[in-house]
Amino acid sequence: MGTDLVIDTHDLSKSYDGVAALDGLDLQVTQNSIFGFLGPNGAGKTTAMKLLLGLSKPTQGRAELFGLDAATDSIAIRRRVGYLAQDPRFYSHMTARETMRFAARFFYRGPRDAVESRIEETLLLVGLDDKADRPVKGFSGGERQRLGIAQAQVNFPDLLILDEPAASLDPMGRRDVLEVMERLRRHATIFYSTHILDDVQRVSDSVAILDHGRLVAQAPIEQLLNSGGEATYLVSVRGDPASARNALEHQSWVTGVTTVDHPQGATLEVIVGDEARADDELLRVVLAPGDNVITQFGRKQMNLEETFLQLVDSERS
Amino acid sequence: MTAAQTKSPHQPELQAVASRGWSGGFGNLVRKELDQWWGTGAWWIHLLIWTVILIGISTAILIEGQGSAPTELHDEMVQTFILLSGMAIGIGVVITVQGSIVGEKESGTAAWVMSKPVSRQSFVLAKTVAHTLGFWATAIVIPAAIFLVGMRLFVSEPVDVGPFMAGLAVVALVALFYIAFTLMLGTMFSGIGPIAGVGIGFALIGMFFKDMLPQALVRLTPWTLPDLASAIALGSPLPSQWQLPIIATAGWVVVLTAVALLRFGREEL
Repeated sequence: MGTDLVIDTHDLSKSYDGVAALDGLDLQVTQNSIFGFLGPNGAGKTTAMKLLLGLSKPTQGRAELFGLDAATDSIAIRRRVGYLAQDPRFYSHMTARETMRFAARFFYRGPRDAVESRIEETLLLVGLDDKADRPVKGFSGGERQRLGIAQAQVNFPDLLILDEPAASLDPMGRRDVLEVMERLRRHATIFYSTHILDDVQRVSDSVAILDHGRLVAQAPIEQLLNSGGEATYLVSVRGDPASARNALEHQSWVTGVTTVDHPQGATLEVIVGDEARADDELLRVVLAPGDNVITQFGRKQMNLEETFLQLVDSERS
Repeated sequence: MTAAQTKSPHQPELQAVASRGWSGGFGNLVRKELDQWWGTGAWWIHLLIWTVILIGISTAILIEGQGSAPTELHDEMVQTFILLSGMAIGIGVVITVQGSIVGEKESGTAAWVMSKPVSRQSFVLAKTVAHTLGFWATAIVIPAAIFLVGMRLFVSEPVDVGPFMAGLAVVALVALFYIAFTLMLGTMFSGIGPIAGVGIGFALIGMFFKDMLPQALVRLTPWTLPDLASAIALGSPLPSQWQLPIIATAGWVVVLTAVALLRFGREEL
């Protein structure tokens, strides 16, 4: 295993009663990355996370975290990991502070003041300092989520495994969680699952897409966004878009052109089969009729939602 | 691990817990379980219930037997107290402990705890220790102390404390058996229904049907222990091979705990 790999899985598989929940997952997560783990409901994301933590045993394959085997060195791994479950639950008789103390005692034996100070610091970080002495049983879903994030980082983990960390949070809470994640990346690797694709595009540097237990794609986010099939260019023109469109449609490297009219002219969406030729010739072809002015030109970048849907749809078909 | 190695690199003053293998997290989990007994009011509810049952019935016998000879009254009260303790404690344990593991599996707290550097053995053993201490204190030791004080005040025949304590020790073994049994059932089932059914059913068979079963088999169970405990407490002659059910029950505690550890070790959380 490379030294900068925090998670490295090989053919990791899990079946329940013969039905595959996870099928041959090969995943590599590098140090200090924020790694988004995407997939529709039931894709196998939570199953994969539980296998990494040793909460569940693989049917086949293996997972290594920090170079340690998840099946045999689980306790040593968990010493360096913080985990937030999808629907975090805590002991209802405890307050938030007592919950944090309970979690902290698995890692630290003292001194008391330093442990208390760490607890205070993490509660403050997630905005629960004013509710620290309230029993957890009265907490809303969002407050439980915040407490879950706080307890997951009490031990300064090298790896945070977060299962839908922003799922039950309001927009402000989501923003706070993303900020916390960005802050923590200096010290930790963050491996998180989510279905909020805007968040992924905002903070992640790498993503993996899972569908029906199988890995559909894994790549740095920029690479993934630019890998969605044929390249598309957007050309906004002032003048006569019909002549430009006509000229483009006669080029062998152009596979499709659509026009969106607007008051100042039109935007041509040009799908090309040969990016090199498009880079060289596209502008010249549009300007050739002589009655157009180009006001905007660039390659269209797909957003993550489009990429995600395209990849999942193509995998299913 | 040296002192220097146990410091956190982020906050050097924090002292890391040393790695402890199979007992990892045990102390913290026992503390949490004891908190659930002694920090939530659960203990006084238990104490109240057991005191009302045991002392209430003893008081009824005392009132009813006012004209009886002191020795006769003493024997009846001691016998009833010990016998009732030994029989009721099985059902009490099953009712109290049935959700201890299943509840955590269902709610997700077991998965949360096991995401920390905790061994699965610690998770089960901490519950065994805390429930044992809780039951021994609230259902045996404190009601017995109240009973002894009451006997001293209201019955002229004194209780011989040595044999009485020995009888209580046998009752304590019964409690431990049912704790181990119920926890093991908790690792095998995913709902409390089957645990309550099997656990209480087992206790009721011991109360009402043990005489219909082969005695060689019955002596290998805790079913005869309440009778044995009351005989020990009264200093009565003991049956031959009276040690057998005690040794067998202690053996069952070990076997049931081992099965629970093995089963929970394979649990998908």
